[in-house]
Amino acid sequence: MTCDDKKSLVHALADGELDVIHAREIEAHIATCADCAATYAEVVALKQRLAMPGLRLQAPAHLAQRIALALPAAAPAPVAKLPVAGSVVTALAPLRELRNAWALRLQGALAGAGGALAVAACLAFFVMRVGTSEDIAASLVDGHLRSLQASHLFDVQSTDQHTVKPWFAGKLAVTPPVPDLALKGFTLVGGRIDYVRGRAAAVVVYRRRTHVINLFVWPGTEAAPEMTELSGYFLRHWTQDGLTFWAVSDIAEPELAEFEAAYRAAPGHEG
Amino acid sequence: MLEPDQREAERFRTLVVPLLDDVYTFARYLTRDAAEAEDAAQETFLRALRYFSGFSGDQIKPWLFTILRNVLRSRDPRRFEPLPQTKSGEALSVEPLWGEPVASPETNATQSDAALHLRELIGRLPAAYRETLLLKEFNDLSYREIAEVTGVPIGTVMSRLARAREELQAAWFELEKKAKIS
Repeated sequence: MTCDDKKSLVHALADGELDVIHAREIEAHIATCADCAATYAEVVALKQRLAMPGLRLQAPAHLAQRIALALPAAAPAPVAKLPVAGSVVTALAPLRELRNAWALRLQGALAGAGGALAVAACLAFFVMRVGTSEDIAASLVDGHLRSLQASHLFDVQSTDQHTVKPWFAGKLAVTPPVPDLALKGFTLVGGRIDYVRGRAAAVVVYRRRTHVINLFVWPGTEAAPEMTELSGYFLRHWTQDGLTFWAVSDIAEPELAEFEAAYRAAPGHEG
Repeated sequence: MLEPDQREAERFRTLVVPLLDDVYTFARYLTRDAAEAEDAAQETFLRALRYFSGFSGDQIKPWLFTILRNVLRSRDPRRFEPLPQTKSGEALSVEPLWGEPVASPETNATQSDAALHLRELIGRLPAAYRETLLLKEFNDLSYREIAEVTGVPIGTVMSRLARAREELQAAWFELEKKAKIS
């Protein structure tokens, strides 16, 4: 029976996922195959049933309110205007409003009592936060997420290390190693230039199955935790030969460690 | 003149905020817990807000659901692991799915009854099937988008969707049969 192979195409037909040619082919098959015709009818009926009212739920009103509150209002909060590190700090304002309402109250109380002192204290708090590895991690996850959106993944698309590496050489002061790790299960897909906290970084892009690994590289040997988890993404950090490396991905932590090991052991490192 | 922050907030309000019910629904079906779903939805919107300035694509929904999925996974790493296979016919021991009854004025009693049962049955599908079905039927994502959100090849999306529907259909028939007998 070849009908088993056709089953998922019957579903695809009901979902409107087939192009004209395949749609015609499957329609013709359904016309002659009672089994597939029954499947098709069932799928269509189920799709209709799943459209009935009462299945889709409404978010509670207080949740909608909390989210509305988290958005910068018509008059932005003073912290949102601090001229530091862009999105990281501006995002903190709503976060704090939502999560730590007490902090705002405290801030209000302080401002009432001590005015300028309180503002200075808040500023110091934010300035201290900027530049921590946590903020770098947040910027890197931002960069990783940006890269996952269509057409942002690479500036140069190639599985050939001899194409990607010279491409960087013409653009940046630093040329990261671009080893071919296909045998280790990491496919080179390209490279791009990204900006991490206002600084240009080379990004070498690999894939593990369907998952993207962005490897950010810039000169310097900053200290940071070897492993960071942020927003469901894993970040692995290491330094080598005067370069700082950050690998960011949603693959599991041991796999990312495996990636680091494979990358560092690769012969491409000298070249 | 609006400040850039305010413009972003406006864009977020127009494009992302209206998807709150969809996000909440998905979280609710996946977590089967009202409080947990609420927390996950809230966290998703906070993250979305934070990453929004970097988002320039036009497909908001897959982007938002990718974040939601990461939130759900980080809150419970085992959430998307395949369930151990149960023998066919054996009742799954499932915690109560829904805290409160569906009371919607515009649906009549029979309809909301059916919806209640169907919700229960969807909630019993293995997580991988459940999420695939929800992304397709409730959110109208394409196979390609579902593949991106769930991080599996399109072929897997197709087979999961087919399995989800088969299981749901079978469970529904079972229910109808019982209803007729009693």
